[in-house]
Amino acid sequence: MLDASMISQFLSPIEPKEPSVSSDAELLKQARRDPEVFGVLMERYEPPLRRYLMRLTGWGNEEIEDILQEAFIKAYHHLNDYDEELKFSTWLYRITHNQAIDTIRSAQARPFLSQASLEEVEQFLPADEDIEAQFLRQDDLEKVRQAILALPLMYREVLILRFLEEKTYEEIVDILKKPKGSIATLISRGRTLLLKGLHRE
Amino acid sequence: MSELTKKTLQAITERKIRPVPLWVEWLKNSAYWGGGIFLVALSALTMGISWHALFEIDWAAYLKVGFSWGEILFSGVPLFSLAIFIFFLWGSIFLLHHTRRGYRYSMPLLTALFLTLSVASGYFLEGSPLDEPTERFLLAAFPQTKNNLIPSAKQQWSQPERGLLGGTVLSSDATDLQLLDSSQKLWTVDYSEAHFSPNTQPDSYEDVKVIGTQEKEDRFRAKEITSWKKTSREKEENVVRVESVKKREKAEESKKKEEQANEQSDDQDEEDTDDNYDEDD
Repeated sequence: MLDASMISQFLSPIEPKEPSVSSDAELLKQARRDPEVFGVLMERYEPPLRRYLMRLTGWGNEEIEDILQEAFIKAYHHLNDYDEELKFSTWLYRITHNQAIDTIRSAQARPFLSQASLEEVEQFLPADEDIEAQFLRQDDLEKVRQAILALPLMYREVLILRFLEEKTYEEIVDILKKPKGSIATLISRGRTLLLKGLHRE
Repeated sequence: MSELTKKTLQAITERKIRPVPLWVEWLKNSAYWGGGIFLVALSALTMGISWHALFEIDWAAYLKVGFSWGEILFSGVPLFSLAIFIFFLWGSIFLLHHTRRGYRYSMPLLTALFLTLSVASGYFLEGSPLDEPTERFLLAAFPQTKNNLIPSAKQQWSQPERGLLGGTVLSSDATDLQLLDSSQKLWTVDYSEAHFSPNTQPDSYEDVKVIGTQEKEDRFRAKEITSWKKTSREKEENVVRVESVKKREKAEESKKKEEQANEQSDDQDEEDTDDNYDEDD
């Protein structure tokens, strides 16, 4: 039987390490004139965004690449709408998240992980876990993963951002464009639902 | 460079995608702000109209003549302007919520803030010198809406069949007064048993509100008479209205007299002719 401490262990924070904001800002200035420079920013943020999409949708690489490509194009198109009060990563997460939600809605499908390969599934899990420990707890991890994916999207997105993507409340507010109070409520309810789901299994 | 980056850059080049100019993005954001502020102003205006209507109505009079609560709600509460107010309020909250950082504020907070702002500014507008010009503007711009969909004292006191009659006094004697209502109809109001509110006199050009019973088509028995405070503009209009009615009455009277005089002279002529015939016989 899983307990709360185990779950929080599974949901433990991981990288990504944010590149310095100033270098993003420099690149952004140049990217407005030269799309090739924007490519550097894409390279920088592709891995965390790819992993986030995998966690959020449970889809395979192909679908995720389509979402990412559209998200990057949108980001480039609206580069002048970037609010410099935010981290560039937060702004990119927001665009990617919205693109994912649009795709989920247009596909009218509930996300499921069967489309993803085993290697892809690994990306879903915290990256700093050692492989042996992962194998030992594979069953439990699988349960957590399934339980998260079974959650309604509104709870899934906040839990992933908070516990897997290690975002602060303020960042989640800016990514999901929801007030702080709503985010806190969603996280709290989401955790309760997740625990219920895990205990049922 | 990853495959995805290459593909994305290629798509950007092929589709000739360029960043939207800064001024367009700025304009878009400003449109949300501008639209939101404009709608807040409109919601304050509609709230001002609603306050005006709510203050104008004599709620006690409705109860005195036996209106039910449902009837009072539909006849006295400015439901139309309140519905428009809610629409504008919702619109302003929606637009300001969609500004760059508007999402950081919760909808209940924004609603409470804008509701307070609109209700308070509407209240001050109602009591300010801007009230009369606004009223005049609305009457000129939307006469049908203003007259038919927003309750007014004029409508309230134009229900003689329900015991509510209002108008301007033309003349009075010991028991009756001549009253001109808002539809230019002349009434004879019997006030022999009426109670007068303080500072109310049935003088000419005085505007009064009468609670009582309709006895005939143009006759009303008063139970209570109250002075009807009107704006300076309305008073000026009343003087013109009354003068024209008085002129009309005078003209009609002199016409009647003329006709009577003509009839009398015709009768005299006939009598004279008859006398002549008699004499001939």
